[in-house]
Amino acid sequence: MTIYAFEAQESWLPTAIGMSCTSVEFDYDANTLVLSFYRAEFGRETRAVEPERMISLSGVWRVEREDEVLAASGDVEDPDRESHLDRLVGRELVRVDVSHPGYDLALHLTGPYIVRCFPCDSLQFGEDPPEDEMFVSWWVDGIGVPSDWEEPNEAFFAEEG
Amino acid sequence: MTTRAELEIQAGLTTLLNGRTCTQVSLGGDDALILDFDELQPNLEGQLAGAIVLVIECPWRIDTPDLPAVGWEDDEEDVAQLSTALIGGAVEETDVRRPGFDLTLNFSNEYRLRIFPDCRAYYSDEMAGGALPWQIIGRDVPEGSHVLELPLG
Repeated sequence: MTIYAFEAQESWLPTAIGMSCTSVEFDYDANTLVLSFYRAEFGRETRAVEPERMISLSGVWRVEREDEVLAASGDVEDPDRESHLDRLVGRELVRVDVSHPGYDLALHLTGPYIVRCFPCDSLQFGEDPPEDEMFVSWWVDGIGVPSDWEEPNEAFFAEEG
Repeated sequence: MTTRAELEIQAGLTTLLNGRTCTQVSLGGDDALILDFDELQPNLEGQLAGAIVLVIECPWRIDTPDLPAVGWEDDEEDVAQLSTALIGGAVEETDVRRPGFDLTLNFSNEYRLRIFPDCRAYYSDEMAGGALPWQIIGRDVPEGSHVLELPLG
């Protein structure tokens, strides 16, 4: 059930708060935007090392700054997209919001910048999808984060309880 | 007129949706989702059209209170079938969130339609291609409101 995957991924998001964005890369093959984060005391020179956290957005997303839209998933041929995305580098992740039932994601970074992801494939919320059709529009990777999408961060639920 | 100015006009027109009942849902060209509101009458092309028509040409999703029901990335067959859940519901609330001009419609039958524009070109005049992510047209739209061409199926 992929709704469990969304719930589990939501529980890992707070572990990235306070970290600085060190790279933003778009994987054209996977159609996925990947933001890498390190703790604030790490500099950009550490980007060759495995990031402490990576937040990946697949599908529909948008980057905003105050009253401006800087980049979006539909702008595949925008020559300025990469430079606009680079403006996120060095920014600290200060807050994450997930709104239900759609698991719409908002990453708030200093600036302020907001990165939004909008899941719009209902298969992600299916009761029991086939194994090869299991996916979520955004997920968290990094040191100590299990590769199993449905494995939650127990500490998150302990704090909530 | 700049693209941004056109979007502001469209945001103002969303108040026309309040209290209106969805009477028809259809798919147009370029994967557009078209919602008709109130009485259907033949238009100039001979097709039935509501007094107000919302044309969506960007990502969207229809939510129930508990789960998303159908979305822009679903199979066309599922979209055609499941999006008709909006028919019979009246718009109780509209909201436009800037700078993205995300439009949300809350319906009386507890469905919620969310629209999420996904191109910078919609807001950037130097990139403007004349397209809007969503627009409100129809015979009850006051004359003089700027509208673009309706994508026909």
